[in-house]
Amino acid sequence: MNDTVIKTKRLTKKYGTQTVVNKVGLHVQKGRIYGLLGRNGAGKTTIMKMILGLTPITSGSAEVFGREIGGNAKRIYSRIGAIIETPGFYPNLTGTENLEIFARLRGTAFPNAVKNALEVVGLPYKDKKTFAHYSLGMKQRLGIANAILHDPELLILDEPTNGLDPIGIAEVREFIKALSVEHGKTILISSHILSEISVLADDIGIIDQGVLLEESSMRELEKRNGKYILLQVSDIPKTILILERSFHVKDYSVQDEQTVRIYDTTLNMGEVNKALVMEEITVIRSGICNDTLEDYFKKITGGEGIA
Amino acid sequence: MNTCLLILLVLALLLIFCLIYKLKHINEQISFIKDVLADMKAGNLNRRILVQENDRTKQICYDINQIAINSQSQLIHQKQSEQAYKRLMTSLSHDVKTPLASLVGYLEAVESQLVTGKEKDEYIHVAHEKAQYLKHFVEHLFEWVKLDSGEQVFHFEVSDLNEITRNIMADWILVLENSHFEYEIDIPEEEYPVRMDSNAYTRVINNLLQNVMVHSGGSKIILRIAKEQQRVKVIIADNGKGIASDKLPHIFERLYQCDHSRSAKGNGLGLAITRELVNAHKGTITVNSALDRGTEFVISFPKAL
Amino acid sequence: MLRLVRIEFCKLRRKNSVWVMLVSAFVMPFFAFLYFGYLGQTNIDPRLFYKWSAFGYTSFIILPFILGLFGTMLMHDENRYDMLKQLWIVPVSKMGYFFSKFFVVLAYSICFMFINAFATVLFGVIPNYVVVEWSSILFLLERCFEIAVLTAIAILPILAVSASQKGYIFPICITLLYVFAGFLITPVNTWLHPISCIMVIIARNGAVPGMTLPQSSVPLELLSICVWGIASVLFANLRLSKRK
Repeated sequence: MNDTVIKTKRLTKKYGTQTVVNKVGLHVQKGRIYGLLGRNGAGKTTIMKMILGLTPITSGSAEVFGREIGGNAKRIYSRIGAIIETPGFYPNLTGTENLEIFARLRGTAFPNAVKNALEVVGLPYKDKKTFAHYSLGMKQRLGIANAILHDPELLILDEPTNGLDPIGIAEVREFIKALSVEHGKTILISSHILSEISVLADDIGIIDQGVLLEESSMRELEKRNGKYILLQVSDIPKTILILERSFHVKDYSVQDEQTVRIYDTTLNMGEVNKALVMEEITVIRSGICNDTLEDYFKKITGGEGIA
Repeated sequence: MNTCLLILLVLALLLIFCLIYKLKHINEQISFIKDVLADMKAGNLNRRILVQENDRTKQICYDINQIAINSQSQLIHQKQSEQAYKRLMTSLSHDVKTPLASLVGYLEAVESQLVTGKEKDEYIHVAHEKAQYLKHFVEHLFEWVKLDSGEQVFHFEVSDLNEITRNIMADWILVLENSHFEYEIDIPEEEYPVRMDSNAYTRVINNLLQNVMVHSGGSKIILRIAKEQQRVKVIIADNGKGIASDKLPHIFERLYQCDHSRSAKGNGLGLAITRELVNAHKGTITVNSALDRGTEFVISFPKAL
Repeated sequence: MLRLVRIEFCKLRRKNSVWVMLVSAFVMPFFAFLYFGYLGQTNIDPRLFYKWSAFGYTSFIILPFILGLFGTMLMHDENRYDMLKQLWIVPVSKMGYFFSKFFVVLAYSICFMFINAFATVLFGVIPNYVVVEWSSILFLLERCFEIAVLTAIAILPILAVSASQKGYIFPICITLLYVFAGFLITPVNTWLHPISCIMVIIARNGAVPGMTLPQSSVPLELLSICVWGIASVLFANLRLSKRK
């Protein structure tokens, strides 16, 4: 079975002479959350629209479930739930009625789908309030409810926490995470907030001015993240004793039988090495790692940062 | 007579077209179900069959979906417990190893007579502290594992949040005064009924207050309870050093520590446990913070009806 | 398709203006009532009364205008709140969407004309202007039905314009222009404008007394309406697939 749910190849979008999306190659893996990170106007929404076939592709291709959206649209769309930009609904209908319309258009996967979806996002079922009187946060929630109404395999969420209050943001994040972890959904999410992506995503793609600068897994990135000194020695307990007694190091962690990480990067490594050798401890390797995620993003985007 | 026949003919034709249309529709539906079932058989349990309200196949499709949902959740549950086990192993290997290695270092020094007299006593003292820390850590770790795997049993009952909070705070006031913390407690007089496990709730408040005392570096604690439409909010704030915005989203993660200090202070499990406990109450916990101005934890519970 | 149309009706809930607009079906019967009351006639030829209350300004100006407004309203919500992209990914086919709107307009048009017919009979019979006669009432109902269906088809261009636009001001201006163009062009040329075509079809065989129309053949008028209808469907299709 093919495990890549969304695959784009040299996806390009031009408006006139302006290139909005430039040769983007995304790979969204099954059952994972893919975070598309980029500033406002970096081209995230356009990429999502092209994947969904909502805007023509200038060149390149976008495959969803191994097929291009187009001919077999009906069967592919029924497997996708999406929010693009701020979702609109019928202002004269209540949230429940709005969802019932979409449920009837699409069909449902189980009984009481509307009630269920509303419960998940924390909106009341059969409420009297019409959509016109909804707050921005409620609108956003209804949009999410609509996206999950038919229990789709793939969710494409464009800035889903836009317009929510802090508690709402936390709830939505939690629940997006749960969709992936507890229900095995594949999720493509875009955001301009670094912390949001870093807390949610398993894989990350960084977009700047329409170009995909980097695509890698979060775990890979986290390895590069952090300021610490890596010390590989023959005798850990002795080393630690020396570090604590002679250098007053408190901030460290033992990685395995030979490696220790020291989080105080101001430590004079020359002195440490000398002291260790004096105690007949072999230093196999010592190195410094000096990078944070944010620094990393700054480096990638050419110094401006994203968060 | 002729017109009658004509009308009958037209009606018959219409009926035939209707039936053909219906048949085509059912055929389509069946081929769709076949496709989805093939996909499910290949292991994609997230696939669903969507049906219309008045489709003949409705019940069949709902049942197929239900089976898929059930086996999917079982599969995921299995995976999760596997992962929990793996996480436990990594925790043990990293966070137990660190204090253990240091403990061994001190004891070895004592054992091999490298230190004597007063220094030896001090070494033993440090080793004892480390052993204590290790003990606490292991206790916390097991508590967390229990919560994470869903084995913890809660006894929920509807009780007055304000009353319970008052009782908890009564015990804390002395502690706060002894450690020279200013405090400001604002608990309303009326009853706020919330469905909760009072032991777990006490742990939540204790953890947060402990957290403020140990980590905030501030001198003042504010505890406030407020009511919103459907929810009750408990706010615990301090005037300490705050948490940087890039670290904020991670603080509830297991073993995340802002300052990486694996020394005697914290063990990175307190807030993770707190969040699990709050989640068990169908509540949420969020945090706002500004550097050098303080941190504010907001717990929000749904009100019992 | 039936499903789409039914859903379209669901979308009209709590739209009070839809009901208010139906009231305008009473306008011409009421004026006819006043007019003949003023003349003080009784026992009028029912067709003359019907011409006044149902076939005249009602079908010439009021119905097309109301349908134009209604069609714009139908399209406007989805355009304004950017709902189309949500509908496309359901997916709803573009032509399915357009035709479901058309069928709602058609149903509305039929409702409107039957209400008009009912009002006509009411205002004709109660003051004793016309004698109750089943054949003439049947004639009225049949012609009202024709007007309803034909006008709904004639309004397709407006529907196509409002489907291609985000705003509602332009489609409404076009509606006004379209309706008055029809009104003005009728004495000169009957087969150019769908609304004047309808008039010819309604007044065929001299069924409506006193309607002075240039001579023309019914098939030609039907053809003209068809051409307009097909052209606007094509236009809507083109515009809808362009604006995604």
